[in-house]
Amino acid sequence: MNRFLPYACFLGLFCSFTFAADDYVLGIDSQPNPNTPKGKIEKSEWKSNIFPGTVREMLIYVPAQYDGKAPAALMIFQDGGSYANEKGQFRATVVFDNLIHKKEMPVTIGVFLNPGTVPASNAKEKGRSNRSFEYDTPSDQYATFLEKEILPEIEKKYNVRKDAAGRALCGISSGGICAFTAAWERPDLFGKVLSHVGSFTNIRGGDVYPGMIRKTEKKPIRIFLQDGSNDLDNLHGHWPLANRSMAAALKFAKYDFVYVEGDGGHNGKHGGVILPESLRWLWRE
Amino acid sequence: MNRLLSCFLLLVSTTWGYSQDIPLSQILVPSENWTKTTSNLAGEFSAIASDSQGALFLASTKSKSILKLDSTGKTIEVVTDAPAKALAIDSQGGIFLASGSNILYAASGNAKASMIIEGLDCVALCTLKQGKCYGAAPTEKAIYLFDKSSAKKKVNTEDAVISLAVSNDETTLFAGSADGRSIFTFRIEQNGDITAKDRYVAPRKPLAGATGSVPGMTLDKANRIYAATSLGVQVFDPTGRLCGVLLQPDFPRFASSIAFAGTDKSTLYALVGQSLYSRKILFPGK
Repeated sequence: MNRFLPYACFLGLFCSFTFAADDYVLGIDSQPNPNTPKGKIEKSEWKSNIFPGTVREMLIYVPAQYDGKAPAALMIFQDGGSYANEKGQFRATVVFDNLIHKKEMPVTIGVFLNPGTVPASNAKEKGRSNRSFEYDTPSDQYATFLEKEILPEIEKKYNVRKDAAGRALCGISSGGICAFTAAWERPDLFGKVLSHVGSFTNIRGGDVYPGMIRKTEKKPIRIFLQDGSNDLDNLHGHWPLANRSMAAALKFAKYDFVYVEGDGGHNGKHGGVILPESLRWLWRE
Repeated sequence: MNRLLSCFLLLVSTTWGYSQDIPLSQILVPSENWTKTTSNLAGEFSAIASDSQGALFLASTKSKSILKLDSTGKTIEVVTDAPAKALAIDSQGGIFLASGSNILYAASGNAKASMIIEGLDCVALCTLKQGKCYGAAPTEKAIYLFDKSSAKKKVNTEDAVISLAVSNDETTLFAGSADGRSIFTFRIEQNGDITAKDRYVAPRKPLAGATGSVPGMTLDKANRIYAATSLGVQVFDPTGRLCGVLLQPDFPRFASSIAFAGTDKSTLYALVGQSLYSRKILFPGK
């Protein structure tokens, strides 16, 4: 038995992240189309003062249809690297190319932000990840980071809409609750939220939102929630129950929202497959 | 092959990322609770700390000395005539002491502590491998960096913190706020300066009416944070997520000083009032 224990642990370590019933297949709008104009991606590194000492990668997607004359819509993705990966589960830039070309969503500039890291002063050591602090904390700090640092940087370079309805936030897992938190704190800045397997659990107190939604005057936010029935159940909470509780609270408070629950686990497979439909719903007039 | 895989698993389980989201059930030893460890120790201690070998050091208010508890449970007096409210052991076995409004240092094997800094009122100390030591001075809202040569530098000038701990790789300083609202993180620069402060960890707060604080803090090998608070010892994973709260050893009193010590540093010691408690933990301390 002892011989196999390390192997069993090894397999368990990785299988626990992947086992679920979700055998979703990406659709045509998530595939590159040679007849569709392809947007450009600009890569940079952002050093933050709102999150002191952090550095992060930022990718800016500019659709081929953007001409700078009319203000473009803006969508900011948390854990942006995974969303922008053209071979990943979401392939958001490919979906943007296709939907914008078909006029099924507005001309939209995409900002793909990775979470911050505080680099170690000793180059041999790994830096400290700031992801959980930035994403899971129910406070206005991340919204302030977007307001004071990211939006001015984007607006300096591009003509983008300044109304909240013209700005959307998206994220997966802790990035999902982060997107909601930023819009909840600053609905004057962000009017749309797309959350994939959002961590509305008690990682850092984010399980308070259903109660707060029910007892707060409705805010002008449009929300798309996605989760899977095989999502996490751990010390922080039960993801499907938490998302259902969010959906029930949003329904109670008469929000413009959709909740879609598949049978997947804690990953972006289902969310990726329905991303085109999610974006059509989110950006509908 | 098995050995290689075991080493790999140990490695990934003790890195920052893979230690995330571990519940208390994977940290605590089943059916083991806090045990009062005062059978052969007269109480009346003000602070505890451990060295890299797992020996526990206790600052005795009764004998005004520093006692060393070895792995067999015996104590010996290692520093005399040194009442201390905080202590930290450096990698050479020397002991930094916060005594009154002074900082003292006793080299390993030397029973007499010498004053190295006069007029510095610290309530928590924490050493770096290079022989430097951080000191928390909450009355002046400052953190100091000093060494046994008496050189000192104020590295923080705005926060009243009362507990300190350094990550295993010495890249991050954790500092518990006096008001219990936060455990700050700072990046440790090459010269020991601390930068990039943020309120990285938010300890669970007491119910209305009670006051919070983080008077003691220590880390395990995976950089999990064990923070002594008025609710009990709160355990956070390396990304600052709460794993859970250990019950208080002697409710309603709470631990003021905690440290991993003993064989493999797998016993968590907690000073409650002036009594010492301990319990086994599945992950070894730093």
